[in-house]
Formats: sequence, C-alpha cells, structure tokens
Amino acid sequence: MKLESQDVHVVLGGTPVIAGISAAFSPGSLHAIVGPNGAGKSTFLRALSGGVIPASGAVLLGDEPLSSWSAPALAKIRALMEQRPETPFAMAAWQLVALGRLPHGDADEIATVEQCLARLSLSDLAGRDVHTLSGGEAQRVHLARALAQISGASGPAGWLLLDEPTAALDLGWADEILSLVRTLSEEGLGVVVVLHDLGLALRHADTVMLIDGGRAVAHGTPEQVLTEAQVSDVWGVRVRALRDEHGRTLTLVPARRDEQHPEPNSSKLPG
Amino acid sequence: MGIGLGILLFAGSWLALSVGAVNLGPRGVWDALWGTSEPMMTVVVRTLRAPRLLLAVTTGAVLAMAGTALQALFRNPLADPALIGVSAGAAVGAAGATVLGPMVLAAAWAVSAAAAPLAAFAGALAAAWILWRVAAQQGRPQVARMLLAGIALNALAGALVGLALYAADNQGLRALTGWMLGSLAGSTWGVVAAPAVLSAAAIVAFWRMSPSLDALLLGDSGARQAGTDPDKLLRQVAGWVALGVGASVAVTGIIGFVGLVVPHALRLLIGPRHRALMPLSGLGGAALLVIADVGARTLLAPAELPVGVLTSLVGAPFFLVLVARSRPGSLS
Repeated sequence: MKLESQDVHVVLGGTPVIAGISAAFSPGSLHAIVGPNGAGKSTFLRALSGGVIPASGAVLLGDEPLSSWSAPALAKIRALMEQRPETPFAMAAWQLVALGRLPHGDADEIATVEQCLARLSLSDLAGRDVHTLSGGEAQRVHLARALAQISGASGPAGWLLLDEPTAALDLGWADEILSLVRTLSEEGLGVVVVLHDLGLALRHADTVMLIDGGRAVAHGTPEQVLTEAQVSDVWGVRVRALRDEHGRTLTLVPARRDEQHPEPNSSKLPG
Repeated sequence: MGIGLGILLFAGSWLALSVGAVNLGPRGVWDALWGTSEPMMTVVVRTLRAPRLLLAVTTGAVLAMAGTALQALFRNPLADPALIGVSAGAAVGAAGATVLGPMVLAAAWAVSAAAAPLAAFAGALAAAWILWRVAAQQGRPQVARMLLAGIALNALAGALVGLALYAADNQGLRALTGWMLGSLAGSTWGVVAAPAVLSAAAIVAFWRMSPSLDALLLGDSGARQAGTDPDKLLRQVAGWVALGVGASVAVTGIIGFVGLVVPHALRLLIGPRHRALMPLSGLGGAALLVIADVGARTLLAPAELPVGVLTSLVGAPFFLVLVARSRPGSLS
C-alpha cells in the first residue's frame, strides 16, 4: 500500500514548519529522511503518520487520504515510534510491547508479543521494568511495541515510521537495528526512518529524502542525494566522503579544520 | 488477585450484614435475608444493613475506579477524585444547604432530608462544569490546566465552606462537620437508590474505558497513534467522575484516601494495565469501604466513628509505607 504526501504544508503554533512536500513512498523499501536539526523531519514523519494534520495538502495511504481512515483501522497498519516516547508508569517490557496490541483486541496477544520481543533480542529483558532499562534497550522495546502494533496473522504488514530509532544505540546495535528494519522492508513492510547518521542511510536505505527548512531539497538514491556538495551546502559545514575500495561512499564526515571555508554557508552553522 | 479481593469483599459484606447492635451469626444473616428468622432481624438486615452495604460497595468501587481513571489521565499516581475539586464542590453544596438553607427557608427546608444531598450533588456538578470550562478554554482540553483549575476550585471551596462554618449555628456546625468527615449512617433504600444507580453506571463506564486508558499509557500522541482520542477520553472521565463520585459523596460526605490508595497499591502489585487494574480497583475499593464501615460501626459501639476518618486513619500510614518501600523510579 503506497504512502504519499501531496504538497503537504504543516503549521505549528503559527510557524510554518513544512512548506510543501510532495513525495511517494513505495512499500517493500526502506526510506530514510535526513536533514539538519529543526529542518522539519520529525514533523513530516508525524504528518505521514496522521498525528499532525496538514494545514493544506494531504497524506494518502493506499490512495485514500488519512482523514478518511478510521483511527482503529489506521492503527493496525501504521505505527510510529517517536523520538522520546512517554512511559508515565513503571511497567515490564513485555507489558509495554503488549500495549501495541490494543487496536487488535485480545486475540493472539501473547504469541505476537513474544515474537516481537524475540525479533529484537529482548526475550531476556521481558520482565524488566522499562524505567530501569538503558537508553538503547528502551529504544528496542519501543520498536518492538511499534512492530506488535502492525503485526497481523502473517507477521508485520503496513507502514513502520521511525523517528531516530538509533539515537541511543551504540555503533553495533544501530547497525543491527537498521539491518533488522531493512529485512522487514524486504519482507514487504514499508519503512520511513528519520536518521542523523548519514552512514546508516547510505548503508541501509533504498531512498533518501533530504529536508531543509521544511522543504524536500533532494529525494533519490542515497548516492544521488548524499553528495559532498549537497551535504556541505545544507549543513553549512564542509564535508568529505569516505569511500571504500570500489569508490562507494561509506559516510560523510566534516573536513579537517584547516580545510573548512566558513564563508558561503556560515549563516547555517548552528549556534 | 481478583479471586482474593472477591472473597474479601464477600466476607466483608457478610460481616457487615451480621454485626451491629444485634449480632447475627453467618446462619442468622441467611435466615434474615430470606425472611425465615424473627421479623425484627429481618427488618434490621433488610432495611438498615443491606442499603448501607450497597452504598458502601458502590461508593468504594466508584471512588477507587475514578481514582484509577484520573491517575491514568493525569499520568500521575497522586491524582484522585478530590484533586479535581468534585468533592470540594459537593462540600460547598452541602454547606450551603445545612447552614444557609435553614436561615433562608426556615422550617420547610430543614425538614427535607434530601436537601443536603441534592445541594451537594449540584455542587459537585457545578465544580465539574467550571473545571471543564476552564480546562477546555482555547480549543483542546488540557490536563495541566484541569489540574491547576482543580487546585483553585479546592481552595475556593475551602474558603466557602469556611465561611459557612463561621456563620453556622451549633446544630448546623455539627451536621456539616459530620458530613465533611464522611459517614454511611442513615442509609435507607430511599437515600441510597439514586447514588447507587448513578455509581453503578459510572462503574460500568469506567470499566469499558479500560482499553482506551491503556492506550493513554503511551502518552497523548501515542494514544492517538493507537486509535484512541485522548480529548474524548478526558471528557468521558470528567463526566463520569462528576456523576458517579458526585452522587456518592453527596450522600456519604468526604471519604478520603480510597481513590488514591487502592489504585496506587494495586498498580504496584500488578502493573498499570487497566484491563486488570480497573476491575480490581473496583473490587478493592468496595472491599475496603465495606470493611472500614464495619469498623466504624463497631469499634466504639454504641457510638459510631465517621468512616472517612477511619479510611484516612488506616489509608495514610499504609500509603506512607508503600511510598517509602517503593523502588526508585517506580512511582514516576
């Protein structure tokens, strides 16, 4: 089922945050969204989830605007994992994952919860209070919850929207989680993931959308979008691509300080 | 857990029907209920103890379930029905009726036993209405605004009750103080019927909200993603708290700590899932108030303790122990 944004504008508290983004995301692929802090990545992701209503334009899921989907039907086929999910009360990890099953009623709750915990290697932590988990462990639990929410009889189906799922993960776990998400997308799931780590986007994504100032500056394959010139321009910092022996880009890192030319883009430097 | 609380409630109820000025054995209660004992016993059990038991069950259950719902709504284990000013509104109504009523309307008002409960219920609804108007100003209702409005309403109601106490004569003073301490005394079928029905409706409503309250455990935006509208839920909770708790406290007066302690203690034991927590809170609240009322009737017999004093007397130290022994982080 295709996910599409048509000239989406979002205004939050009187400030335009998304200024007209049109894009189509196909299922069975991993779509990354990258961009500087405050570019509007999270807001765009929430607009895709239906959690933020566009001021104009529309988000379409399976050619139907989100506004015409019923909330329970939508909840079964798309899940959002937020950057800082709330857990107001102490509860065991498995209980949090089980909350993902709410839209489905009670049927096969235990089995699905166990599957989702196992997929994220959390079975040993199932009984632990989520407030005592490390940041990375908690992030995996929330991902398992999102997975449980869109799991049907034949496994997860629909759309998984992830807002920086690797922010609290170390290098190994970040790659592990992205690999898993990649596998899920190869099994047919649609995945849109906001990433800060350009290396992860280059390594795992099928498409990359570069957002700056509420607009999609570029959208294409990782190699097309994440070029030295484009990244230097948008982030306002001179970057160099690190390449493997076949000339493929591994990641982009800031150039050495003596190579920086602050002039053209200095206005974009944070702070 | 559910079975244990069920047995506790059943045993407490049987005890409530059997002990008092006239003590009946377990067998005696059975006979009295079926009308096969002495006529006087039958009258005592059927017209004095049974309605009082019903009021204790519905009030205890609705207080605890309202507390559970409000704690989920405010995402805070400190919330209870008193916090949002519904009970305080009822107190203002009761104060107005017991103290000012007789001055204005003289004898005609004073003879009407229903005046104070009706005024208290009106006070509870008025408080909920003001709370709602303030919370829902400028678009979407906001939990923080509701909480602050509740604190302000409590202060305002405290001042109004203070004024009434100041103006009251001796008789009014005694009546109002008695109401504020909470008591199930004077329960006849006529007094109990309306609050019992409203509370029962609220109990069913709170129970049916359990899945939506579970969604709220994911936060506002998480609940939305899971297909639950938090704004709608806020309206439902506020409405049923006003109706159920308002109707109960109008008759019983202020009964403290049931709505705070019961859901809190059960949450520490079984976790925050409302599918289990909500019905167990109802059972636990009912059992607690039934047993507390037995204590209130018998501890200083033939005098009666106000049951609200007893629930706070037992509830507060228990709560202190719970808080002191809870693991770091498990309260937030």
